[in-house]
Amino acid sequence: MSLLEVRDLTMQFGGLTAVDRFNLNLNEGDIVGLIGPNGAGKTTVFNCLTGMYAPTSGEILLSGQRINGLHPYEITRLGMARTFQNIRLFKQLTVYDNIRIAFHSQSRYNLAAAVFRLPQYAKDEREILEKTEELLEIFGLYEHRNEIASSLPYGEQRQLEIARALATNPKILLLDEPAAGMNPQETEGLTNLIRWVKERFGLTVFLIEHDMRLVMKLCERIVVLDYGITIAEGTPEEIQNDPQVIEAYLGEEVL
Amino acid sequence: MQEVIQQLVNGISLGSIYGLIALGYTMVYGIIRLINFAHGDIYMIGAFVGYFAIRNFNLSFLPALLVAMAVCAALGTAIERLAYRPLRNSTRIAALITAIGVSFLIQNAALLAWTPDPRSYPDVFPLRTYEIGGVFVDNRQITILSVAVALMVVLHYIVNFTQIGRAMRAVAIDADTARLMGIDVDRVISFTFALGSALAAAAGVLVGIYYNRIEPTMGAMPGLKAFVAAVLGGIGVIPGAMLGGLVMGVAEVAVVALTASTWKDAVAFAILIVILLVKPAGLLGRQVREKV
Repeated sequence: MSLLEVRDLTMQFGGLTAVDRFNLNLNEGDIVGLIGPNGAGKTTVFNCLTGMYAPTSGEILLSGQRINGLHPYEITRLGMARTFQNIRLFKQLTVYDNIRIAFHSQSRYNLAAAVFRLPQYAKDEREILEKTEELLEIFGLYEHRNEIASSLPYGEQRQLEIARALATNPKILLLDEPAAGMNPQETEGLTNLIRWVKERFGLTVFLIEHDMRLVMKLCERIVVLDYGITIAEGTPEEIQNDPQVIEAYLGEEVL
Repeated sequence: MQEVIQQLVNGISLGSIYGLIALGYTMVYGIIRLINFAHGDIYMIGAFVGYFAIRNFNLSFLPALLVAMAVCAALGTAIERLAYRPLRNSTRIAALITAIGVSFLIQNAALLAWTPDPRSYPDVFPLRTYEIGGVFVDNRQITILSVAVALMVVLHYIVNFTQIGRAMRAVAIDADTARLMGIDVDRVISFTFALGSALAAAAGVLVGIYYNRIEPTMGAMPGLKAFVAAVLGGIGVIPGAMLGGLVMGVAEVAVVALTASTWKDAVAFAILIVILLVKPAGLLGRQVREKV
């Protein structure tokens, strides 16, 4: 059984069909890329998967369980986490707190335990702190832990967003243009980092990206979307030589 | 000099009560951008619950305070659930008008149930006055101040050092992203209402004890003044509400001491007008652009 199965997902906004009968099969451990020109509906697919939009029709199954119609927080608790195209950190909070917030659904203590400092509170908070520090170490953000998130350089904000997504303990990580705004060296570093955290945390990764170096290097399979319609799916080599894909990207020297 | 310190003591006692009410306004505003005009009436209900708990159930001060806080926490969440949540995605003005409607509803229900006659609060502890260097402090003022400070410390701790507090701050900054981090936003909002309402209830009981007089319409004026206190401190900023409350209390007492007591309500609104003209974001608030 596949970890994530999407069947004929369609999302309409009024008369506009942003995503038209989108299908996807993610098996455990896959890294799959979603590419397509601007406005192709890539982020809309992400928004449907995470419950931010209720799809017009179609089915989304996570480990065999139907998840369309669930609230975003419920889907997150079932093991889906994401980052955003335009960074959406809790800007006024510290790096520390940004990550600790994402442990929300895993903390078990209640308010009484917190106010009276019962053992459960201390134990949970200690666990959260340890896991937070581990994530910060992995992403090289430890020395910035007490800084306000918005004061970090752009690349590190992106890394913090990925770290925060990991803190929700996901099975599937959705990355929306993780390399946007990064220079080639940073992109290289990010490519390795994604591969490494995927192994380390046993993740399945589904990512949107415009940077073809990253996509071609990282992804085992690629889905191409244009005007909401899936125009191609295959290995990086197949995609690079697909005439329809080349036409959709005509004028762009990415392939 | 003694007179100044004396008035300061009085002002701080009164101000800590405004601060407690203002905290509820500011937390709710911070999280869903709504001025909950029914907040002053929750404070009134808190005073009455404390009154009945002491008089009819013979509870002493602390248990009565806790009962009032628990009842109002439940009331606050119920109001949010029934009146505000259905309007979560409608215009802000619709929610605001609803808040005013809820305020009228509670106030008039209380008038029906408990008659408009003022009641005198039962004596929970006999008045004792201490003289310290010519300044008179009574045990009620000390109680008010210590309860208010204790509650503010607990609140500060919850907001800054617990997971639910972090969730509150996350929802205040970006509710959509908070959802994707596994936070049940509706629950966090309910919790915020519960917390704010419990603080208002505590203020109600303290006022009952301090002024020894409660009535169903008592919520309106302190409600408005606490709202001014929240704006003064910077709406949405928790320490701002405490500071705003204290400034309001001291200003009110000072005006009464210097001029006539008829001016005491006017000063609140004079402060509101000045702050809106000079520093609309409030003393501790930061100027933020409206999100689009």
